[in-house]
Amino acid sequence: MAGVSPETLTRLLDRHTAALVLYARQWCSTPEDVVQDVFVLLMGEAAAPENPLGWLYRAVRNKAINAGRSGRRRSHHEARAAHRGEPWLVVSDADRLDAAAAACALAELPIEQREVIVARLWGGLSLAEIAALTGSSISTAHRWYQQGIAALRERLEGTCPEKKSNCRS
Amino acid sequence: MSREKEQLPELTAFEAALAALAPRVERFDREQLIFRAGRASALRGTTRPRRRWAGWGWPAAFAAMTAVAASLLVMLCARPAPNAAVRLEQPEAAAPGMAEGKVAAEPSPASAVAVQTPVDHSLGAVAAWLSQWSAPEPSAGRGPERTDPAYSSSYPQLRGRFLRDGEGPYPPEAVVPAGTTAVAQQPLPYHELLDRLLQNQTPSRSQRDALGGIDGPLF
Repeated sequence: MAGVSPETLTRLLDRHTAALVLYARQWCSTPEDVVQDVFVLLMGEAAAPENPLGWLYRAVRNKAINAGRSGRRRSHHEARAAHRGEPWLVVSDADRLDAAAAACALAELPIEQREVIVARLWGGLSLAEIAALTGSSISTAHRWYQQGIAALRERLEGTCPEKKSNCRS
Repeated sequence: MSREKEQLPELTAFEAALAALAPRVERFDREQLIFRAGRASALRGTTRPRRRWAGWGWPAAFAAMTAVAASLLVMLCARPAPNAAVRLEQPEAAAPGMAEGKVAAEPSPASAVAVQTPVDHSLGAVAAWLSQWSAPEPSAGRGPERTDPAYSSSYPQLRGRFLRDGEGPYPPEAVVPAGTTAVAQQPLPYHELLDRLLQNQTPSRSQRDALGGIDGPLF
């Protein structure tokens, strides 16, 4: 069985790199390195996975969690990453929502809701794929998604200056 | 999915607006990615392919050895007690080494006695057994004469006696002289022995032995 074709690899790189980086950013401070490592792994696979996008998200999740753990063990790295505070979303005047506020509200969500929202909105995964990815049921994933979206909507539509000052990103 | 369609329209519009925000990617370099992939491919070509079961040899051997050791331990702990050897002692008709005309000190039991004793093969038990055979009798007149060469403590004679008489604790009984009638003497019950003792009648040795080898100042 052949590995991933160049066309599939190009398509995955073009369409899903940014979403994968945002997904990995939920756990670690070096998401680009994690995504790059995972793409290298995908290219080294002798047999192409059945669902390359799901494989990518699962691999990125595992690697980002490991990177986040090892990063936490190094206190100076953690302090530096916390000080850096890179924005998660690109700020643009054409967007209907404020990107900085959205990133701030997204960062304040619980990790379960954040993960489901990023995978669903930016990754384009279905709830079934998200449930398989997170190891939960579809109803649980759906509940997390709805709670997260409701919380984001409440915060973004009623954003106050005090909340903005507490934002991490 | 039905649940995904159940969401409210305004929530869907909010989702669309949120999804329109582009994630920030700054340090993702495609050229570096292609370079790393090529290097990994080249390194894989130079290294020996790993066999599928290469890493399972030692763990499997360890597991097998552990299983064998555990089963042996269970067998050792659960084995039954040592077997008891059943020895059938029969009265000797005539010991070939015994001289005729000697007075029988004790009549031999008429019936065969089945003695069940646990077999002890330890070195101390063998030494005790040999010393028992080579030790002098506590009192004269119960067995054959001390001058009998069958009772010498030299090894060849002891061996010959063992091969002839077996390993029984009793010395070979003397032969009943010709012309006399051997009266079979059954072991007396305990109360009769006690009665005889109270009447100052000394029981015979075989009767004492039947009571378990009671010996002491009373006898």
